[in-house]
Amino acid sequence: MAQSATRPNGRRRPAKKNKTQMFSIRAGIDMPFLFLVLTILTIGLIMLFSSSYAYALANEGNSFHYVGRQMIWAIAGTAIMLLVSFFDYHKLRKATVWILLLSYILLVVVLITPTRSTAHRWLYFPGGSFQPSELTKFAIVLTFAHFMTRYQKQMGSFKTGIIPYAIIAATTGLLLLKEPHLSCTMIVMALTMVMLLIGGVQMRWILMAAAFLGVVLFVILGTDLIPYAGARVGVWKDPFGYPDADASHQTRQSLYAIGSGGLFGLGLGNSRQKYLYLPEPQNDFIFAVVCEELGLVGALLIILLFCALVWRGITIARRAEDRFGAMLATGLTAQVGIQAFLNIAVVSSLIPNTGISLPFFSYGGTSLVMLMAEMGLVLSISRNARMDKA
Amino acid sequence: MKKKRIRKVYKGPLGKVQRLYGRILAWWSNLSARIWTAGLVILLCFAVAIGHLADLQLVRGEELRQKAINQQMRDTVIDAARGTIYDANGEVLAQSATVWNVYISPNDIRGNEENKEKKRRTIAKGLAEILDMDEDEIYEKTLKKSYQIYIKRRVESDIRAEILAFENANPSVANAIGLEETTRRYYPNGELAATVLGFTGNDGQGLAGLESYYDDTLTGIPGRVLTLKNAVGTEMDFEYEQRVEAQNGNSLVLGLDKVIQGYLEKHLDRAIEDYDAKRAVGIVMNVNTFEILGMATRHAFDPNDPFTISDEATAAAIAALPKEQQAAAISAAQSLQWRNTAINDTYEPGSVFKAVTAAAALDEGAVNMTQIFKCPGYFYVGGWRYKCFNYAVHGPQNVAKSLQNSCNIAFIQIGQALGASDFSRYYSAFGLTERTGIDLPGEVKTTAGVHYHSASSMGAAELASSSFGQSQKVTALQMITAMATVVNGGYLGTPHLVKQILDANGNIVSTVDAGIRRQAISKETSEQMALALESVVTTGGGKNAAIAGYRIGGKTGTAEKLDTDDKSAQVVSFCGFAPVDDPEVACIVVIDEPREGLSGSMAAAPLFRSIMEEVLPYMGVERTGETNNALKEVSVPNVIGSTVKDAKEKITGMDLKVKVLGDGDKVLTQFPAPETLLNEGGYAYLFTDEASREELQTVPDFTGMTLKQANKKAAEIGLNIRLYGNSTGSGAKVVKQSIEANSKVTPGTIVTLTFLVETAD
Repeated sequence: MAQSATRPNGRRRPAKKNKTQMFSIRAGIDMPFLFLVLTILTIGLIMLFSSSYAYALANEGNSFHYVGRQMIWAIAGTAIMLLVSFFDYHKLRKATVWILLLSYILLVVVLITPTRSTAHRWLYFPGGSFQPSELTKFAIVLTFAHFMTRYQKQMGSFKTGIIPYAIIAATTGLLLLKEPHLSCTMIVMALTMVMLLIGGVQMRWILMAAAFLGVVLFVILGTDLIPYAGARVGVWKDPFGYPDADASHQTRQSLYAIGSGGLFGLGLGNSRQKYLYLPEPQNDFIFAVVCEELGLVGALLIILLFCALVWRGITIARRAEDRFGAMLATGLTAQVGIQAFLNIAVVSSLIPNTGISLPFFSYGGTSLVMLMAEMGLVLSISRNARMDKA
Repeated sequence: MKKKRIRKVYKGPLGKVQRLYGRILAWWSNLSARIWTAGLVILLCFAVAIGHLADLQLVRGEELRQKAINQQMRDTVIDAARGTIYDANGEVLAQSATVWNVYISPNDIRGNEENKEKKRRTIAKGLAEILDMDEDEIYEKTLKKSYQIYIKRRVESDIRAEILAFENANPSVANAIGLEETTRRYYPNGELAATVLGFTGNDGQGLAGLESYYDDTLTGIPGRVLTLKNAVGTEMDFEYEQRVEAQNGNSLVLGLDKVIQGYLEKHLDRAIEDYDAKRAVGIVMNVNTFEILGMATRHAFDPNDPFTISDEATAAAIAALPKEQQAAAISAAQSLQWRNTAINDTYEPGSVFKAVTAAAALDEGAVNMTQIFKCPGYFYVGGWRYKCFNYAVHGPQNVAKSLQNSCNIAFIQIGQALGASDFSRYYSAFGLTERTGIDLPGEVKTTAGVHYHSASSMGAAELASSSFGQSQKVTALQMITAMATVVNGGYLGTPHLVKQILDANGNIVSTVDAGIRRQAISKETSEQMALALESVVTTGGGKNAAIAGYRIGGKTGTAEKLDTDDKSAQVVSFCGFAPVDDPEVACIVVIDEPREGLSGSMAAAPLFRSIMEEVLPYMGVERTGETNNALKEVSVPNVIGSTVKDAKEKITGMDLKVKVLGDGDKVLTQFPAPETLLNEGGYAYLFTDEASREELQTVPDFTGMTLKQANKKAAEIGLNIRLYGNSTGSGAKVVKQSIEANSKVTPGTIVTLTFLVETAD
């Protein structure tokens, strides 16, 4: 079992060479991954400042309101990431059940505590707030990585390879929907799919699930068979013609910003849409400002950085010393990738609008620290991986 | 187990596919491969996103950018200051001043719903008070979604100050109230020259008269400021402003003289009243430069408030109409009062036109000054019997005499001598078949078959009636232009109001000259005509136009209106010029539908005289002294306080007569007041005690008296009289006195007597 996890490509690699490389790499973390995380984080901070200062000035009376706080969280997050990279991630396996349980409890608590907004997404405590869903995403990845590793042999069967995980995913998803937090539900579902895929369920289940998902999406989005698909879908289909201008406002403003950018953009700091046209330019729609200021070239660069991060994370996963590490690294990397993609897709109206933040860019302390800690875990996995190749 | 199955079972060509499937399954069993797959799926998602972004930013970029700019850009127009209109002496006739448009920006009313509601109420209440408007009406406007809704346009600076004070007192709503600088047109002289100047509309655009004709010149080029605004309307904190400065409009300097215009309008108004006329039109023009010195159509309107019906009777009549008819009636009354009849309407020139016929025939050599035309009182042309006014029988006359008598019979013969073809040629040469080209909008284009007979359609009867001016219609401006051409040496020029255009800094942009189009008649003919027309005023039908000390020429006209149901409706006119030896200024007056029985010689000629009597001295036209019926005027010396003896000596020394009232030794008061102008031999009354100040004189009835009789009567009771009109012409009689007969007045009061010579056109 350990053999196949540590040497997924063992067939093409002589065992002897592996051994020597394993020892030499074990000492350090994967520098390319660290570099990518810090680069994206830095660009994210710059763009957060650029996109938020007009909004911050208008709403908080201080241009540095968001970027100042985010900076502190970023520094704290980086420290935590490096700290976690020294942590032996195997120890997490013992805490898995408790973390999952904590996630469930918090998801229930958040539903019954009073909220300060329209949705029950935040737990408030003196001095701040926390989104349990941030923990949930991690809990799902960790739980699945742990159990799919422990019950690796049972993954081939529908009953033991799919049903238990489906139940965990479904219950979590229902609680999230209850908040409501559609975007997080989507991420949890996507992560479940990814974990099941790499967990080793039979390929036909994956194909069937993909086909089913495709049909459902087609019916909802591509046809008019379901008359009430909601304003989001209506806006998505025709952002400029949708009768309720308030409902389509976000999408329209975002498209204006993206379109204004053109190939090279208006230049860093020169977004016009951030001047209170774009709602939440510091949060969900930060990428629209990126597109407006840096153009397609800048947007492409940032997307490619995310791609590189995903690929490097995948590489770390493939070279992880054991199956648990491989699955955990894949899950955490996929989480960043999926969320980044969904955010860009929402901002550019590729998919219907659902509030989703852009990792490393969007303003939010707890989610950034959580994210950095997760990146620390990936680095911790890289410490024990055979990172001899690229 | 899986591997085994692949190797064992599938063989043959179909097996290839199955073997491939087997291999995929084998590959799938590898964790690394599955991770790779998951990663690839995510990367593929990103690829789709990139494609989508490229579509948005490159393919649809321009469209979206335009939409973005539309919501971000604020385009503010900077008004160009409209040019000023000056009269010939640089007096302002029309000028723009800065005023403010008050608007609100409901989108800038911010806060929660409760706060917004409070702010809306504050705005509505505050503005309603300051602008004297309905509060609810303003409140309705605050509910709209807009950055600019006008509340009131063109408020003066004091209102602006009040609004600014209100904004200071209510800073929370200040950003939702805006003041936009704009201009308002002022016409400091009110009605003066209204139909010439025209007026401007709400947006400062010229709507009538010179304001319309020279709109582009006066308007200038408005500037623009393009600014980027954020979603709450304040400017973004980075610089983006594109400014195109406004180019102020040019100014107009008119040949029109405010003083002459004033005289013209004053006398036209009086004529309308005296003659119960519908309308009266007058033009004063320089016959050499073709500059219009005055041009008026009365009644007019106040260009400061052009939409109000200025004629009170009409306004009252409209107010009495049922509601649904009012709008149409108001609109009709407005068009009428805005109408510049001098160029927008044609009239029947009647006998005035004989000056043109005579000039044409003389110039062509068809007749000469010594040729005799017989008038037996009637004349047959093509079976039609023509007659003169009042069936007069004029006997044998030369051209000058025919003009003096205004003899239709003679002019039929002159017309026949000239012939239809030459008549028409001269008719055109005098500019009567074309627009004069004056710089005003809406000038009538006279057309053959409508306003005159063309050469081809002119039979003997048409030629006959055209010769004495009863078969054609012209504008008053065409007529005075033709008259100017007759007397100025034969040159047809282009009448114009604007003589100079100045740029915003006062530099001359262009100067307008006489615009001579052609020479219609020779200088010799012109000189002959001037003298012939002078004889009309000295001895003919134009006697009432004579002014002492000036050589005046002119011709009267009385015509039946051709296109009206009222058979008795007439239009009477006089067109004359001065001085005869070197013509300088011409004046035409046209009175539309005066009281029945009034002719050109009895109504229009005196009107001409009243105008020119003031215009000629004002223009500095020298008195020739050839006519000696000018009475010397004397200023009464101040003798108050001096002894009666001294006073008597002083006054009699001034060629005035003294009358002493009361028994005192010293002069308490005197009447007329010191420095009043009296005719030589007038009476100065000295009051020497209190009782004498109560004494009164009775004004006698002078009507119908000749000058001699009137002087005698005045001397009998020691009344001061002032003479007005042609008092020395043969048959001149008093037709009007300024103070009613039998009124009690202070001794020495001046009674103005208006004389008129009973004469036919």
